[in-house]
Amino acid sequence: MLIDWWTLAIQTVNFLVVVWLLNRFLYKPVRRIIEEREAADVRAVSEAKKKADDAEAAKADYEQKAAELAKSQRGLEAELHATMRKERDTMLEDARQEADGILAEARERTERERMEALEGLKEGIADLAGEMARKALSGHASNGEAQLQQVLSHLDGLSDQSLSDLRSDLEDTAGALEIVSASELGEAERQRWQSALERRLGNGARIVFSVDPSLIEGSELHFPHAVLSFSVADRLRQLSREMKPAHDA
Amino acid sequence: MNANPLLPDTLFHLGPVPIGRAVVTTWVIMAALALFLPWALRNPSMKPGAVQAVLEIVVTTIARQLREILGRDPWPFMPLLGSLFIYLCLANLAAVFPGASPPTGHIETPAALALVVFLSVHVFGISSRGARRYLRHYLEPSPLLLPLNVLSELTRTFSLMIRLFGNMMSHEFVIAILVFLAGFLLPVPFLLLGIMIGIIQAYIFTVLSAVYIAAAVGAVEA
Repeated sequence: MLIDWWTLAIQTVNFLVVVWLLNRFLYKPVRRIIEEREAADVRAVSEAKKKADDAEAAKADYEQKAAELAKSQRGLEAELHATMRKERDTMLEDARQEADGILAEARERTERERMEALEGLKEGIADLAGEMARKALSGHASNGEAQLQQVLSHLDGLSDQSLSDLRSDLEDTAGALEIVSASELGEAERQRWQSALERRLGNGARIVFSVDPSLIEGSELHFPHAVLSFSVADRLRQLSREMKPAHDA
Repeated sequence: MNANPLLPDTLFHLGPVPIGRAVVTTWVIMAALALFLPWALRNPSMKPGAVQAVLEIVVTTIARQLREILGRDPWPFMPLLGSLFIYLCLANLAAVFPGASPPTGHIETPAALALVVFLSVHVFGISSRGARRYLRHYLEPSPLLLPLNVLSELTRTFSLMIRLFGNMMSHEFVIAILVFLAGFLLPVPFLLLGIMIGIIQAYIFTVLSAVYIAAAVGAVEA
C-alpha cells in the first residue's frame, strides 16, 4: 500500500475548507436562526408571563376592589340597618309616647269623669240623705211628750185584735214591756208613759225604761214577741230598704 | 476506477502535484456544498421552508448527539465534528454515482481526517484545560504509563483511520469483484448496503472523534 503524501495534504486542506464552508454557510446561519427562534420563544414566554402577571395583577385588583365593594356594601347595609333601627326605635318611642299620652289623657278623662260622677253621686247621696232625713224626721216627735202622743196615736189606731194580741203577749209570757228611748226620759215623763200605756195595755203590764242612743231620735216599744218602733233610726232603715230596690233597678 | 484500491488513483497532474479521483470527488462535494448551502439558506426565516427545515433538523440532531457525548455546549465543536459527519456521509455515498469512488476508500483521505482529528484533540484539550494540565494527564495514573498513553494516542488515531479505510475499501473490493463476476445488476443490493455502511462508518468516525475530544477537554461543564 502506497500513500500519496500530496493527496493526503490536499485532502487535509480540502477537509479544512469543507469545515470552513459548512461553518460559514450552514452552522452559523442555522445557529443564528435557532438562537433567534429561541430568543423569540423567550420573548413570547416573557410576554406571556408578563400578560399572565398582568392578568394576575388585574385579578388581584379586581378581587381587592370586589372585597372593598363588599365591605362598603356591608358598611352601607349596617348603616342602613342602624338607621332603620333608629327610625323604628324613634317611631316606637313616638308611638309609645303617643300611647302614653292617649292613656294618660284617657286616665285623666276617666278620673275626671269619675270625679264628676263621684261629685254627682255625692250630690245625689247628699240629696238622698237630705231627703231621707227629711222623710225620717217629717212628722216625727222630737220630745218625750210628742213621742208619747205618737205612740199612743199608733196604739189607738191599731185594731182591737192587734191590741188584744199585744196584751196577750204581755200577760201570757209575764214579760215586761221595754220602752227604749234615744235620750233619758224624766221621771214625770216616765209616769206619763206608764199610766198611758197601762190604760191601753192593761194594768198587769210591767214597764221598764232603757236608753239607746243609736235610735237617734224617738222611741221603741219592745214586747216579748214584737217591737213597735217609732225611732228615726228605724225610719231610716225603712227608707233605706224602700230605696234599695228602686236604686238596684 | 482503479483496479487496485490500495494504489493511488491519479487522474491528472497539476505541475508536480498528482490529482487523484478522491481529490476530485472531494472538490465536487465542496463545490456542491458551496453552491447548495448559500442557496438553501439565502433567506433564513423563523418559519422555515422544507429545505431549511431539513438542514435545521440535520444540524440540531448532530448538535444534540454531540451534547450527549461531550456533556457540554456542542457548538464550539460543531465545525469540526459536524463537518466530519456530513463530509463522510457525502464522501461514502459518492459510490452510488457512476464513475465516482468514495474518497474514503483510499488511505489518504481517512489519514487526512484522522490527522485533523488527532491535532484537534490536542488543540481542544490544551485550550480547554491549559497546556500543563492537559499534558499532565499523560502521566496519570502513573508516569510509568507515559509511553503507553502516547502509544494509545497514536494507535487510536491509526485505528480510526484504518477502520474507515478498511470498511470502505473492502466494500469497493466486493463491488468490483461482483461486477467482474456477475455483471452490472447484481451489485445493486450491495450498493444499498454500501449506503448503510457509509452512514454507519461516518457515524462511528464522528462519535469516536467526539469521544476523544471529550476525554481531552476533561470534566463536564457546569
